[in-house]
Amino acid sequence: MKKINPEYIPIIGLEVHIELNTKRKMFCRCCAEHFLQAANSNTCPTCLGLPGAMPYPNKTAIENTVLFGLALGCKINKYSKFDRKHYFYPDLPKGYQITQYDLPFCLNGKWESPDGKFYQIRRVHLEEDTGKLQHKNIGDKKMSLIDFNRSGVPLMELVTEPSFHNPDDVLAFLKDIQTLARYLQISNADMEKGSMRLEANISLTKITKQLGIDEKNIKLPDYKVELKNINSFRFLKNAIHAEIVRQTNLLSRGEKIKQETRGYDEQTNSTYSQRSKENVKDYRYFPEPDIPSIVIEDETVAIIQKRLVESPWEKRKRYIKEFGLSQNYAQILTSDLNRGAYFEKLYRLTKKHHLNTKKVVDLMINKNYDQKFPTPQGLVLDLLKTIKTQSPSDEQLDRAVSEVLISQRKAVSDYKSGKENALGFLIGAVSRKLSGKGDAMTIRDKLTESLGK
Amino acid sequence: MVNIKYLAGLANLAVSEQEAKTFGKQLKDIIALISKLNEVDTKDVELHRSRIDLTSDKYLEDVCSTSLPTRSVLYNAASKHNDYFSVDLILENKQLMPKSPEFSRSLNKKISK
Amino acid sequence: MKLPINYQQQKKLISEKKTTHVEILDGYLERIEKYDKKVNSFLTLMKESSYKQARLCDKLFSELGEDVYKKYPLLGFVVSLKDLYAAESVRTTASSKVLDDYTSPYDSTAVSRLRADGCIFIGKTNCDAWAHGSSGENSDYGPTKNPWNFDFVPGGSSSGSAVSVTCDFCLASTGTDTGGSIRLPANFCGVVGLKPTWGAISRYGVVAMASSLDCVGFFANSSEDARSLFNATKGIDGFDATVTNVTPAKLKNDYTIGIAKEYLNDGVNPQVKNELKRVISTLENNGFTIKDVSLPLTEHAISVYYIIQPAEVSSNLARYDGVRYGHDRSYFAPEAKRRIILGTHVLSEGYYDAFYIKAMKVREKIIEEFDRVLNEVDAIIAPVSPTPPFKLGEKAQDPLQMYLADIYTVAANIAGIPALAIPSNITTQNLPLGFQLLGKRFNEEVLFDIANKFESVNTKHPGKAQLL
Repeated sequence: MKKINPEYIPIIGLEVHIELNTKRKMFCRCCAEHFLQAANSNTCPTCLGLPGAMPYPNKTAIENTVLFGLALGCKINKYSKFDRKHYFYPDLPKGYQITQYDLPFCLNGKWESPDGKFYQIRRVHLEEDTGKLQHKNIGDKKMSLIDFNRSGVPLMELVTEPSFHNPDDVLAFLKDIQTLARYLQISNADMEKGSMRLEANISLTKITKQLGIDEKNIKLPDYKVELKNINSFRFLKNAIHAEIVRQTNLLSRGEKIKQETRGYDEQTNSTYSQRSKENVKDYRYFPEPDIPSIVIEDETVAIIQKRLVESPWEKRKRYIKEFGLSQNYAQILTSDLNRGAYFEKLYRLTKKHHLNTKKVVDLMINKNYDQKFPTPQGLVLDLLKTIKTQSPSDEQLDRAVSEVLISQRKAVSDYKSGKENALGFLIGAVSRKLSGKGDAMTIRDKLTESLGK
Repeated sequence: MVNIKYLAGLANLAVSEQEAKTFGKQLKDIIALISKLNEVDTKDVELHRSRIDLTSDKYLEDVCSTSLPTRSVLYNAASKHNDYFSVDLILENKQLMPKSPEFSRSLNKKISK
Repeated sequence: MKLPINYQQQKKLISEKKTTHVEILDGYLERIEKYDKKVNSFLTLMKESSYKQARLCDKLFSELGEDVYKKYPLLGFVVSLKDLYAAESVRTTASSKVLDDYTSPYDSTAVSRLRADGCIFIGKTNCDAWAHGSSGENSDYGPTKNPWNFDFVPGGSSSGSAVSVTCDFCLASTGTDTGGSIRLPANFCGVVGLKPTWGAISRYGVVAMASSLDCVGFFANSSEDARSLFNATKGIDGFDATVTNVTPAKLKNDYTIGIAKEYLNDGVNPQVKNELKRVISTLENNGFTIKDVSLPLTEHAISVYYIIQPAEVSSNLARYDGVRYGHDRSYFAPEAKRRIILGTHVLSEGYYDAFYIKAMKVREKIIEEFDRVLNEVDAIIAPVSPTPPFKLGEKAQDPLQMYLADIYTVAANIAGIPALAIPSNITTQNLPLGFQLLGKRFNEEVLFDIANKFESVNTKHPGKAQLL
């Protein structure tokens, strides 16, 4: 990757769409499942936009959006409403999308990055998904085919403030958002199935080096480039990077950057123009007259709040603090609710049985022992058995260590003069003496203990 | 002055020059009428008073039921392929532009013959 | 062949074996066959299905006798449907060529409830396309004519529905009222027209014009029949989220009726004004208290209406793209295009606050004003139209003049309150005259009660048009 010019800092805002996993659609009784279904089999007058059809809101979808907002520390609007957003496209049956404009369910949340920085979330709102288009040659004609099974599926949209400055934090954020949706069991947030979709707005601004990156000193540029239709975290990270390089080059040449929507080509690792924003769209938002405004009293929020679970980022912090895990291990263990729960039980059991906790966690993460043993109890039982049959007695170990320390003088003096890798050699030697019995960690501890004397 | 052509574009309507002229004149009269509202003081008016509480029994349970049979879903479609609705290839992110009335009508006559 | 004048009488005729449901249907269809070409009130006749329903009614009545009404309280009630009402497997055009060949795959709530109660649907009636109009002239299938005098308009937009009732083509009809579209044709045709409270009857399955103003309602020969249809269709259905169930208010022995000076200004035609005065004195002579009230914001109702209505029209007509059904947008007639463009304008960036938000705020003030006045009186009496029926073509070229025909009807839609148009007399030119009563939200029963009492003492009821 090319280096980014330090004179400019990127300003990145994100829009994340997550399809909720409710049983029925957002405004009708059709099943919301649209993956691998026969085309147009889950459709009705409402989600097809037939003459006379009307929306009837799905309470569960609203509650789950509020729940998600609460997990992000959002304020829940007491009065919210749905609005109509108008544009014409054949996958949008009514000629407008029911969404939320100025009174979303959730406002002003925040997320804490692994290195303790806070990022602001502007809002979380609820809307309906569109149908799905596919382009095909039929005979000698180029056609677009439309399936409305996805039309009207509840879609939650999260919008951040434009406060990200590097692709790594963006990626960490998005992974946490995905994990959060899964923790709360409101969506599988599956990128491949399109139940989680990403968009990033990117622009660059010049900074005065002495002032550094401080939100107070950052002036928002008068343009933004939207990156759309990117279907994996990795591609988005690459796309953001490529876009930053492209914009930096343009700006250093003194050129202006066009406000537009761009896609990402993974073959060439570059972004390309999709649509110019020169004719700004006028969506003609107005309050959806077919749905009364929605009142969410504090008591209702309190009931929903009871369903909250610890967020992935809070849990990660706790794992590091409480269990002394590395950032990396904490990240791995918190990315899956079940794995985290498994780990916590396992941790308690290893303590109870005086096992080497760090070693057990290694086995779980690197050797996938949690997949081999459905319960942590099973794993610990197995370990205890192995240790009994496999471990050398203390006496055997002592003897092997002292023999090696005598026979491998060169390595010992290397180690003492600071060559850390000599230790590995010594561990190997002790292990061979014990004909493979005993684990590296225990041998290592014993060796360092003896060498330290 | 109201830009009829621009508005028609937003609304995905084709209007002829003559129509644009006539509408422009008529809308001017109507806009004069509706502009009279400026005489009413609305400083302290609160909006969106029609409300339902999220806990009200007006909501349906999150259970799905049967949809329309695909045959009747597609029954009225002008053009379909297998169980899909179909349209002439849509280029990404382009708004559907209306065909001229003359073109559509002549096409329709051909189809009905 | 004697056709019933109301449902009560029909039940009696059936019970006394003087007629059958099939015979009644024969009678209606005969009249339609003979006269409808003169007035153009029907777009689609549902002959086959209506005979099937009529035969079933006769069978059920012969099996169950009077008990049948417990299960089917409107058994054999012959109703026509404004062509905005979706009925399963029936062509539904909204009188627009856009939907020329559209067949609905589902029933609207109103239709399914009336069907469940035993109603027979005889056909779909003509109207102004998309319900845009006050005269019935805007239909893509030709204008409906006033059966009292074919040179005159029947009023719109539910023109064919009103005409079908006054012509005895059916016993009652369904209509929609967004700014007067039931009351105006009821008034011009001499039948009862009910525009219920917004949120009383589900709008599900009725082609939307302007959602926050649209009401499903009825035409009938008597307020009692309108009441039966209202009670059969009202209440939560799980498809229209704006519907509320409200227990009706208690009826009283004496009512206070308000008369607003704003409704009797110089803009009102003398015959209309004199008739209103006659009705007021009839009411006064029969135990009603009349009270002067003031509704100063009334004059702004029409401006509010011509912002909110086209805004919602432009949105509700966006779905007609010819992809899933119907023809593409080039098939819209000029009136729809005009409203879409006006609506697009008032919602567009830079104008939204000045027009739409302003109108919504004035709307709130109008609602407050009505609430205040309706706290003092049980109902407000008002003209329906500033003039008696006008001639075909008289206002067709000037949309603004046409829009002003709604000046006394739109306020009820803006406030969401119920209104009942009642025929009371005829003009010197032998055209119907009438008035309307506006009531408190969900107080339809009070309006029916007042109308009932008036009907029983009014000596000048216009009767029916003579079709020759």
